[in-house]
Parts: sequence; C-alpha cells; structure tokens
Amino acid sequence: MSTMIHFIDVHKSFGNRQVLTGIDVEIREREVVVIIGPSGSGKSTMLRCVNRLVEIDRGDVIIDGMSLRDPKTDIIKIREEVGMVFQQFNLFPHKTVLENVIMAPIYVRKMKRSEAAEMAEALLKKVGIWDQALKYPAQLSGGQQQRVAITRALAMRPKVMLFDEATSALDPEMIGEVLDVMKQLAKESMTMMVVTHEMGFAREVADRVLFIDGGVIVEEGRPADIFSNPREQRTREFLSKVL
Amino acid sequence: MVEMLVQNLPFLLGGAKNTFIVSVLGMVIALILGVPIGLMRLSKTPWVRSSALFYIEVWRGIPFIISLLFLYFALPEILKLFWKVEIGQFMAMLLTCVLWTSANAAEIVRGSVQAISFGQTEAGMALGMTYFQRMRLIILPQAVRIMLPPMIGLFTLLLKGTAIGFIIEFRELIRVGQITIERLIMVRRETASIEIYTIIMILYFLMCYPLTRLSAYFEKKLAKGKN
Repeated sequence: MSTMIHFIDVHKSFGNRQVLTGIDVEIREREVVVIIGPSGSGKSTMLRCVNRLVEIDRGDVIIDGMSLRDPKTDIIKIREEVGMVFQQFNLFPHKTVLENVIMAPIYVRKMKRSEAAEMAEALLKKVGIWDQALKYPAQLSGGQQQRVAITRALAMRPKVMLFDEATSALDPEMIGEVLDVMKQLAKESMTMMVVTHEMGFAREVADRVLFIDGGVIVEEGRPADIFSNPREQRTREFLSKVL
Repeated sequence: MVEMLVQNLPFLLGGAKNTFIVSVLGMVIALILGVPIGLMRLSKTPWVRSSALFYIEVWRGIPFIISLLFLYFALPEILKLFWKVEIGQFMAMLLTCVLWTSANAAEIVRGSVQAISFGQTEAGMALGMTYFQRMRLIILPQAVRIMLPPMIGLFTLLLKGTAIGFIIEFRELIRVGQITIERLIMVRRETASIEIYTIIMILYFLMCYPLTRLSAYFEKKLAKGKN
C-alpha cells in the first residue's frame, strides 16, 4: 500500500521547550495508527503538524504527495484531504447540526447546497443523529456532539482522519458511542491517526501503535506486541501506569 | 407659556433631528471602518497590527472637542494650501464622530473576536476555510452577539457627545436650544431657560432610554445563551 503521510525528521519547539525532536514515520493508506504516550509527550502536536495547525520548525511532512514545507503547496488543498476531530468538539454553536456538516462542503469544496444536504443526511443517519439535524449543538449530549464533529469532518470526504483525544472530554457513558463510530470508520478502511488514552481501542482497532515520549517515537509495532511484549523500558513503565 | 413652547418645539425637534442624523450616520460609517480595523488589530503581521493600534490610540486618546476644533478650524487651513475645499459644520461634526467612534468600535470588535474560543478558528482551519470564510461564517456571527450591548452603549455616548457640536455652531439640540432662549429674551423679553433646558433633557432621554433598554435586552439574551 502506498504512503499517505510521511513524517521526515520533524522538529517543533514552543519557545525554548522542545516538543518534537525528530519524528520519522510513514503512515500507509488505509492504516489505523494509534499514538500513545504520557501527557506533554508531543502526541497532539504531532497530529496538528499534519494540517498545519502547528507549524513545524525543521523536517517535512508529505501528505498524499504534497509537501508541507514546499512553498508552492496550497495548505487549503491539504486541509481538504485531512479531517480532524478535536477533544473539545469545536462545533459551531450558532449553526444547527445540519449546517455544521454542510458548511465546509459548500464553501470549501464548492458543492451545491442540495447535494451537500443529501450527503449530510446519509452521513448523519449512519452515526444515528439524523433526527437531531435541526438542533443546535448545545442541545445535544457530549457524545452526540462528538459524533456530529466526526460527521462534519467526514463530509469533506477526506483521505485521512486525525483524532485528537476525541473521547477525553466525554462522560464515561458516552465514550462507547464515539469509539463505535471510529471503529466503523476503521472497518471502512479510512486512513486514521488517533491520539487516545483508550488502550482498549488501540488494542482492538489499531494496525500499528506508536509510543511517543520526549518528542520522539520510542517504540512502534503491532498492538499485540506493544501491549504484551514492550521492548523498551519507557514503554513498559508507561503501560504499567495506564493498563 | 404653553403657546411659547408649542411655537418653539418644531425648531427644537429640528435640532434633535440633526443630533440624531449625525450620530446615526457617524455610527454606521464607524462600524464599517471599525470592523476591519479591529480585525487588523489582531493580525499576525506586525505592521498591520501596529498601524491599527496607532489609529485606535490616536482617536481614542484625543478629546472629542479637540478633534472637532482641529477638523473645523485647522484642517481647512492646511487643505487650502493644496486645493479649494470647504469643511462645513456638518462635515466636521460627522468626521469627528466617525474618527472617535470607529476607534472605540474597533476595540469592541477586537475584544469580542478574542472572546470566541480559539477552537472555533482551529475547526475552521482544519476544514480548509480561508481567513475571510472563517471570519464571515464562524467568528463574526458569534462575536456580533457579544458586541451588541457595548456597541449600543457606544452609540448612546456618541449621541450625547454630539452636544459638543454647539461650539462650532453645528445646529444640534443644545445649540438650537440656546438660540431659542436668546431669541425669546430679545423678542419677547422672556427668560425660558428652565423650560427649554427641561425640554432638551427630555428629548435626550427619549433618544437614549430605548437604546439602554435594547442593550439590556441583548445582554440578558446573551447571558441566557451561555447556559
């Protein structure tokens, strides 16, 4: 399978705090990669580099053949192909669920409103929120809001989906419904990069797990190997705390 | 007495009309200028940000009366050197209103936009929206709700501030009131300060009170929306 995202020696610091100190990894098409690691290890930053919500200092990221650092690259083109789901949902509170979903397809993809609405209907039905389509985000539960946020990203028909701790802000009883949507997406062969603390999800769904600490990838491998036989001392320590 | 008031009321209302027109026109133009200036104030580009800051600080820092006197008396002298142009009372008054109000409106815009969570901007960026799409579709529609009460407050300040126009003989409410009093003294040997100034106070109150209520209404609505 071809490479979808290629991190090449990615460095990033905020002020004098080094957050990423040389990330090298290839994410293949249709692969589900789960990134785990202690807080502050650079997981979210790594994800945010992909669609340039964070600008990298050194190195490069190639997304579907487009280089982040190439001045000729139009960042909008990359963002069209990369969907992102946030911890805090970040739905647009002044727009209904339906409008949240169809806004970017209409204004960015230049889709016809009727076409976008049809697509939104299909997507919202799939995640079980079509009956809430005319409500505002504040009228929905956290789990429902996050499912809308996933739908909003999917409506752009992205090639890659990034999940930045998508379940961390949810009440425990709502985590399952969001993880189910993500699992379904993985089954449909979406290329996914997932930052999460849900080790169960990583074990079950990931094709590959990356363990990040101190701004570098300390260890990577199949979930079975990482969780049962971690090679590195730091991985073992981290897993003993979270499992 | 009553007859005197009835006779002079249309004249006083004319002054109120001038006060109102210059305020409304000034506010509208100030909003058109204030939104981009407020957004420039938040720009990542240093020279854009600092030129907006300069504009805001200058016109907020200078007393209303000084800019009015300058625009009416000094500016024509300067312009005269280059081409023939006249700045009448209305124009000077309007310009002063626009400069002061746009600077203050820009600050309100800046504060309201900053009050919107950065997550909204990030969500828009992640969806591939340009700066202008994000502003138009996501940020400003939310910021407007926050802006409304302070903008209405600014408008009432402006409305009352135009009273200073009497100093350049702009025929707003106060100046018209003074003229009325003087005329009554000369023509009918009557002193009507109490009556006329009372009417002026009532007229100002009638213009400002609905606005204050409107502002309170939006503020209540905003507080409700938060929960």
